[in-house]
Amino acid sequence: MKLSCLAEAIDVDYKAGEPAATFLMDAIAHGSHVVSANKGPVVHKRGQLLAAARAAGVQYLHESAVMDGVPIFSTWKAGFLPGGAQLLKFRGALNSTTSVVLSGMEQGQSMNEALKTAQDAGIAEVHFDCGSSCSVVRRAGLD
Amino acid sequence: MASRCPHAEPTEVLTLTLVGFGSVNRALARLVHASEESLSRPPFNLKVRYHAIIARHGSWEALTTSALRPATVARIADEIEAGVAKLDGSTPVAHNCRARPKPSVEEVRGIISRTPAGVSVHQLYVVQAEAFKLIVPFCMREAELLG
Repeated sequence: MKLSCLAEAIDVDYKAGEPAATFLMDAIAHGSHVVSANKGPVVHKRGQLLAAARAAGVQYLHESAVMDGVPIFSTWKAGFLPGGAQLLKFRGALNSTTSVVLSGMEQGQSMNEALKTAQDAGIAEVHFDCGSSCSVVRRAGLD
Repeated sequence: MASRCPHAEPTEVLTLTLVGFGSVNRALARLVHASEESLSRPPFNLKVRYHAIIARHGSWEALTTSALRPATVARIADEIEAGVAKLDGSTPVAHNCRARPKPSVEEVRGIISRTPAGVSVHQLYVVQAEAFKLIVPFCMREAELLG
């Protein structure tokens, strides 16, 4: 049996989510499961991508689009939503760089040392758009 | 009657295409390579092969199904990170792979369209349903024979 999967992690385009969204849609239409670490397609095309994936019988997974894989989407979908929860508001540090830096400083590192830890782990973002992260969480919460 | 060997389970082939080869997908490549042995055993029985790895500066696309193995992709990930390799054709390309410098959006879409298609969940249900159709009469006949 053959399985096919596209793992997409290109630079984020905050304005349109392209060309990542097109790549994901192509792969879904081709019968591939897709895993994306990209906020852009979630913000701009999440509904279309999920519908296309459902129709094609494949998965569109995007857990690492926000907070580097902290399972907010799957926890919401599998736990809170079936339990009847409604998203009214959320607050917290939405990017892992902030979390790693604050945790490191709590443990006695300087800010630069903690930032270096985040950079070495490959999770420090060059440009962080908090609005996009909020939009991603909000969309997931409304579905 | 001979018992069924657990290693005789059919091996599934997972074909991966990596779009973007920055820190995230390079880490994935290393993880896949490090997990290759455990993935090949039950309960996964999974053999991982790559169709393509695509970065902004270049791409490698496999011309045969076994051209891009996890070890090859993990090694090139390390070499790119160390700044001693590129996917644009300037570094010797893995056997049976094609390198492309700075692939355009249309070229990336072409690579995606050439990725070997997998079995969808719907098709899986069909396969299971077909198998069920075969198994049920067989079991009923066996039951009749056994009285």
